[in-house]
Formats: sequence, structure tokens, C-alpha cells
Amino acid sequence: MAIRKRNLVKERANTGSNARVANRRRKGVSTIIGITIFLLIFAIAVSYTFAWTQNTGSYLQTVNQQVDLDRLKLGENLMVTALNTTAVTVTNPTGNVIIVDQIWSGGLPVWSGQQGISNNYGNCTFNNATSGNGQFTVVTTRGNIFSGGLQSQLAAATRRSWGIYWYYNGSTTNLPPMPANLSSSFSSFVGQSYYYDLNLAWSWTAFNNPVIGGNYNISSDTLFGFVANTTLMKLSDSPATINYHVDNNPFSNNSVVISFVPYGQNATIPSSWDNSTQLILQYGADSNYTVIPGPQYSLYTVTIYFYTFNDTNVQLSLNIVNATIASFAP
Amino acid sequence: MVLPLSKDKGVSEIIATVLMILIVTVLGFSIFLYGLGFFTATTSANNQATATGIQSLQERFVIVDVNFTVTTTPVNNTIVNVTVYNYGTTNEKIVGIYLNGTQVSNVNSKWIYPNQVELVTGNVPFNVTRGIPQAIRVVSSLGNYYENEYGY
Repeated sequence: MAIRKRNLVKERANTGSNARVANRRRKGVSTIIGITIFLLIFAIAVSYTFAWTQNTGSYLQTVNQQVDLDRLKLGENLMVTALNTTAVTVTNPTGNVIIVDQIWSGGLPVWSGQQGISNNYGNCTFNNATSGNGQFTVVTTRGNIFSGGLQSQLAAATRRSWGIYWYYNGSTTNLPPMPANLSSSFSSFVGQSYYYDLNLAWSWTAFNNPVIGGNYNISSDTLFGFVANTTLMKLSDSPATINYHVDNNPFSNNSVVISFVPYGQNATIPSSWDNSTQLILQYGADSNYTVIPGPQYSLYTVTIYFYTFNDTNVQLSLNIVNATIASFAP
Repeated sequence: MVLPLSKDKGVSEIIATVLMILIVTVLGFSIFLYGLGFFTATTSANNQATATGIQSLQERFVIVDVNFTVTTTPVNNTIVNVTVYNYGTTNEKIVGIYLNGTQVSNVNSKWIYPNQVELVTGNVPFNVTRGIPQAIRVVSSLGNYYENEYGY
């Protein structure tokens, strides 16, 4: 019995060993299948991850390109100077070339194309804006918009100065955007300048001394004058005063008109600049004043109309009391 | 006594092995197919989202001019005319105009090609006060917008 039991144990042991060997062989099949499927899934995951990474890379590349475009766009700056209602000069003060794509005026496109403006104060004049109105909007290829015009009250206010627009009774037909009911005799626009104080004096002994710019001459019988704009802010509730002094006696060849309206309203101007019956301040006195009412910090648009002719010594002095030139953020 | 036992064990092992292979195969391929579908769908969505995102980034436009016109027929119908300039590198479609935060009706949606301007108009469904700046916003089909204030 004992021998038989030992044999039985041996047989079982042998049988178990064989079974393990067989099991090991058979286990490999499912393992290989499992590994294959795992590798397939892994390969798919890796390939798609690669595709996602490529997408993310493309997106980030586009972001970089757009950031570069934004940087170039932010670096653009143009100075727009209207010469008259149909011509404008665009100056590029930056270090990069700027390409102008369109110019608009009065709600209409007056020029289109692509014109490069050289860097470091390069400029280009666009003529023939026949439907222009003196206010120009310049659009660049990078989407920037710059504006400029003959009369820019905001520009003067930004500089805390008087914006002065000079005219004479020349024969040119390039009418500046003068108030419509001013005398047509002041039909020629000479130029634009800015004065922090409106205190002017010059001698026209020879009637050919340059007054504005370096190359302007005027004859003895030429009407010559300007329209000056600014925005005043009252400094107290007391009335503000604008005192003026013009030339010396006899005060026959000069005229001064001072107009003021609340900021945002159109100026009430005389029916005719050089021969008006509605002058606030007019012939007959070389010194006078005007009073501006209103509460503290109220804003007024003040316009001075001035002309002179056939007078050797021209002088205009203004003294503003209880008000200051308002400043606006650009 | 020994042989019958061995025979029985062999049959069950073969069945077990075949079953195991079947289960592994079926389960494995099920997971594989699910994964394939999942990754395909996800990647397709990712491709589309990336393409849309890139196009949205490349959309660039600006309002260059705005004016208002009042028609007589119908009486006092205010129309806002917005000129939009596409300075980007992709085509874009303007689909909406907002005036002071209110949507303008009957907007004539237009495609604008790179470096081109287009006039987009719409009816203003309310009275516009003259003399004050009007906030105009134009919206593209991809959700980008440009807004600024313009005089009336």
C-alpha cells in the first residue's frame, strides 16, 4: 500500500509537471494576443497624440504670427496734415515703413491702393481727393486708422493751445473749411499753426515780411487774417473775461470778432467776417473785453476772427481772466 | 484511477484555454475598436477646433467709416452704413451690427476678402439721438468683433 501510494504521488507529480509545461505553452497564445492588442491601442494613442501635438503646434505658431502682427501694428504712427480740402500729406515718424491702403474723407473713399511711406519722417502727399472735405482718415494695411484735418479743435485742445488757421483773399479755388457765412474774400488757406498765447505782433513795413512759415509774402492791399479756436475751462463761478488789445489808433484796418459757445455746440459767427454788423467786438476801439458766464469747470469753445490789411504794424493781444485753456487726453 | 482523472483535466484545460483566448480576443478587440473610434472622433474634433481657432485668430477687421441715412419710404427709417476693412489673411463674414448695444436688424451679411472693404448695412430699430457719439460694433461669423464710437 505504501509503495502504491508513493507511485500514485509520483504519477500525480509527473502529471502536474506536464500540465504546467502545457499550460505555459498555451498561456503564451493569449499573452501574445493581449500584447498585440495593447500595442495596437498604444500605437493609435501615440499616433493621435502626435496629431494633437501638431494641431497645438500649428495653433501656437498662428498665435505667434498674430502677436508679431499686433506688435508691428502697435508700432505704427502717422501724422496726417491736410493741405486743403483735396490734398493731404502723410508723414511717418517711426522707424518702419508704413503702407497706406485707403484714405477717406467726408464718408467717401478718396484714394485707395498701396503706398509705402518711408521711415524716419518720410512723407507722401495725396492730391486729387476731389470729394474731400478737409478731414482725412488714413487706413494702413495693418488696420490702423489715423485722422487729421484742417480744423481740429481737439488737436488744439490736446496741445492746450490755440489752433490758428490763416487765410488771405487770394484767388485760389481751394476753399478751406471756413464757416460758410464768412466772407468769401478770405478764400485762400495759407496754413495752420498753434500758439499757446494769442499775442501776436509783426511789422509789415515792406508788406512782404513772412508771417507764417518762412516764405509767405503779402501785398499792401491784401486782406490777411485768421480763425483761432480753443476750448476754455472756467476756473470759478465768477464770469471769465477775455481782454483784447489790437494795434493802435486809428483802428480802421483791423477787425476782431470773439465768439464763444458751450463746448460741443457750433460757434455762432457773424454773417460776414470782414464786414459784419454782428460783431461782438468790432471797429472803433483798440481795447475791449468780453465776458463769459457759467459755473466753475464749464467748457466753452472760443473762436477769434481777426483780419488786417494795409497796416504797417499789426498787433493782437489777448488776456484771459478766470479761465484756462482746457486740456484733453489725445 | 489515474488515467480517467488526467483525461478529464485535459479537456477542461483546453476549453479554458480556448475560452481565455476568446475572451482576450473579444475584449481586446472591443477595447481596440472603442479606442479607435474614440481617438478618431476626438482627433477629428480637435482638428476642427484647431482649424476654427486658427481662422478666428487670423480674422482681422476694422470699421473705417460709418454714416447714417434716413429713408423716406418707409418714413424715418434709419439705416446705418458701416464700411469694414479686412486686413487679415482669411476671408471673413460680417453677420451682425450692434448700435449702442442693441442689435441692428436686416443686416446684409457679406463676405469680405483680405485687403478688401465692404459696406454692411442694417435697419436701426429705434430713434438715434443726433449729436452724440454712437457705439457701433460689427460681429463676424466666428464671433470676433470690432467696436468704436462714431458721430451722427
